[in-house]
Amino acid sequence: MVSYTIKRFFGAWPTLLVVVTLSFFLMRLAPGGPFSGERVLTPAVQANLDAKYHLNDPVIVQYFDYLWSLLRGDFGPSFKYPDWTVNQLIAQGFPVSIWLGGWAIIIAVFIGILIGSLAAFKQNTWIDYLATGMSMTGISIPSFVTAPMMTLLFAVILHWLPAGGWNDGAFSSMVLPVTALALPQIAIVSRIMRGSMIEVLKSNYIRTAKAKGIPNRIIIFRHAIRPAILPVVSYLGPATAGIITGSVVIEQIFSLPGLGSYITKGALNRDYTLVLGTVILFAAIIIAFNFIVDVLYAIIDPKIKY
Amino acid sequence: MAHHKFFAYTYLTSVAFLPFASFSHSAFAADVPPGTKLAADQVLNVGVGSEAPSLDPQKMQDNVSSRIGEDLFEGLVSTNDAGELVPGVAEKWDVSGDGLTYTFHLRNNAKFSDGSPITAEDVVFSFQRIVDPKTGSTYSDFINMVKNSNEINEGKLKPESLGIKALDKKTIQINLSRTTPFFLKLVAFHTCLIVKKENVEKYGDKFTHPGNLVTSGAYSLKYWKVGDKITAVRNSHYWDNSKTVINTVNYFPISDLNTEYQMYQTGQLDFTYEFPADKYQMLKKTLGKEVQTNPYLSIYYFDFNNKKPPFKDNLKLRQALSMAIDRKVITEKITGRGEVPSYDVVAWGTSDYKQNAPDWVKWPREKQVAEAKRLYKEAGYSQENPVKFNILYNTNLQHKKIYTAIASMWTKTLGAQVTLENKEWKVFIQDRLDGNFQVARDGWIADYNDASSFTDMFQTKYKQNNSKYANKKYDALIVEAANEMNLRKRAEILQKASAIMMNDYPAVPLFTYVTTHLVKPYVGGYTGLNSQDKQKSQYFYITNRQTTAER
Repeated sequence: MVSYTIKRFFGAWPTLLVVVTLSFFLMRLAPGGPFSGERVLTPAVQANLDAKYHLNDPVIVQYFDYLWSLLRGDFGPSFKYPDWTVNQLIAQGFPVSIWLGGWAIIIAVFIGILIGSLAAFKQNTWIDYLATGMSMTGISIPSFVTAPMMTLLFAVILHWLPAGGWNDGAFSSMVLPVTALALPQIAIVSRIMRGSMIEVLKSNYIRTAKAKGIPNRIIIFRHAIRPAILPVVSYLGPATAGIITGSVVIEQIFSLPGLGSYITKGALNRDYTLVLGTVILFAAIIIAFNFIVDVLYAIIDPKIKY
Repeated sequence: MAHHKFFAYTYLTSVAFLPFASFSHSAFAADVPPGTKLAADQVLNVGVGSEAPSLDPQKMQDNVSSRIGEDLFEGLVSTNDAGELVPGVAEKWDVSGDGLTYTFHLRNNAKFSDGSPITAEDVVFSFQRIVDPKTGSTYSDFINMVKNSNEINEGKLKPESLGIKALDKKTIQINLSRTTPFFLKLVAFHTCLIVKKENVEKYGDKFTHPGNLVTSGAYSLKYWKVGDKITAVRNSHYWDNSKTVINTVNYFPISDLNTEYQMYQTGQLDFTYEFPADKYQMLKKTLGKEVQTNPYLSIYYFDFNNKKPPFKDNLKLRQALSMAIDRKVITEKITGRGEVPSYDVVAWGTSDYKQNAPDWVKWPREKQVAEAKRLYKEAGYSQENPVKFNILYNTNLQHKKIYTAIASMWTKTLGAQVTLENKEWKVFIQDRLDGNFQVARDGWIADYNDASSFTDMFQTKYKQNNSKYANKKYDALIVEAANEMNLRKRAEILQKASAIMMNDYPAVPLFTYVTTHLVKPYVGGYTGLNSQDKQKSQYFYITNRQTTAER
């Protein structure tokens, strides 16, 4: 296990390097630069800006400079937000994204597993149909529809909750965005859970357990849940990474200060360093969560050993 | 439209002959009518549209930064709620007879938010900082009329050689290399806001962070979390603090217009940056006076590429295409929020300036179309041999609607074959700059309220001459205007220049923009008269919400 962890840790670096290199050069290939805008700069002003940010060096030199500063943990200054470094911007936005995404995924897992298992046990009853119907609806309606609708109802009409804003992560400000983020995940998790649970319940060892007269409660909690949850766990790795890094829509709709918009806005603004910083962070998160899933697999599934 | 006219006249009288004036007194800060019951809690929550890229005056280049920046900092000269120039950190100034030397006298009670006095040294530092290549300002050429400014930008001279010096602790002299009749308007611009030397030197690029920042304006910075909000609180050391009413201002960077509107509905916002365009009619019905649209010193137009066929040396074609556009259809049916149809690249409401309009504007539509058809034919095109070209614009729904309408007008009236091409913003900017287009969307928000902010762009050698227009007569008039110190006479020259240029149809103006805000009835102090849409919180106040509700 320890040697596996070490192997994975070192295996992640080449992947990251490829990500950094590709993103670095792709960004530079895009037409326009960080300082181009409606107001045209004079050659002298442009030259001064390029010199300040070392954009006048050959791209390959810039690349190695960037790698060198990365090794020192420095993501560089932001071009669009000159008052901040990319490190400072990420330090401000990342906790928000984690907090939002974290709650959404925890809620999705608990409710999703519960609904999915229930639907499996009561297969082909009204409970199952209701759960399946609800989860299909949850998957089909995108969050940019559910979020404004919830805001309209709970904020504008009922005045129970604020319509947007972070408010230091206050509970009331979190309810709607977390719900909007969690809803489609609940739907997906419950569907996966239902499918795998049905499969497990039909397997030979469960039949044997039933034949031996073991009570349902014990069959479910001791024998069925563990194998049934495996597909959910493998889904959760990419899903958590995705939810933390990709809540662009939700952050926009609820005007939240997370990381989601950095990558899109950064790309539009040609804020090279901000885009690269976010890409590296996201890549690291995805690698990390895939690793966590593998470890969890080993813990849950007795068949897997590293 | 009545209030539009009123708006123009206020301007005419207020800013004329300013360079020769020295102020002794003017109306400042919140003007609360007698008998108004003020709310106990003077907190203003405003939407600012997006995150402020910078709170460093010398690095600001957008209106969000300047909206907040002008609350935090003050310049030597400032503008009031009606957009008129008023004394700022300097209480008075003198201009030499040749218009080349400006002497500013600082107020004795001008203080930074840390209580220290604002000195001439700080002012000199702030100006040097604009042109210092190390600052990394995109506006470092903004004060290029100040002596040695260009040489410093080009690295030939040190920032210390800029034509500005402290005569004593409270007096600053600025020397210009050429007369600039609107120089004071530049001094009032956010690039020239005053920062504290010691503060900038101590913290470097981090000086604008909360806890570090020392400000010169009516407010100081309390909180800034990117993407969340910025909070400013009253600066008790500000020289005019006694007239400030709002204690706390929260600026919310809400980029989604619908979210902003909903936060306004729930009362989380008192003042919005904008509102969804498609909701305008509905909002006017339901919210009445809370919906505020006012002329904005900003012009929407498009460029013909005068260096490329089919528009090169084809005046009649350019004119025919301009005449074939029914601007009223665009401002009434597409944009529809009170935009002013324009036939001049100088925006409606520019001070001292009366927009030009060709004679054919007054003709009935049928006659305009008939004339357009005649010109089109004379230009060498017909239904059988139509002109073919494409329109380049940056990806944006509003632009798409506008150019779809224009293309359809051209096709219907003239039979022109037009294709629309949209590109991502930075790609578009680059293509337009490089002249890789036939027709390209364009637009300009004036940095300062002077016609030259617009007319400069069409000089033959100007960096931003996107249409590649070239006319020596025009260039000569622009130079003549630059040397005319009387602002009215100067505007007349610029008007003449613009008329000559518009007769050549290098570009086609469509309309003057409007600002669009939702303002709660309990927010006092918003006049809508500032055509540059500068809303300084020190002019605002919150009335007793209950009394307004009863009303």
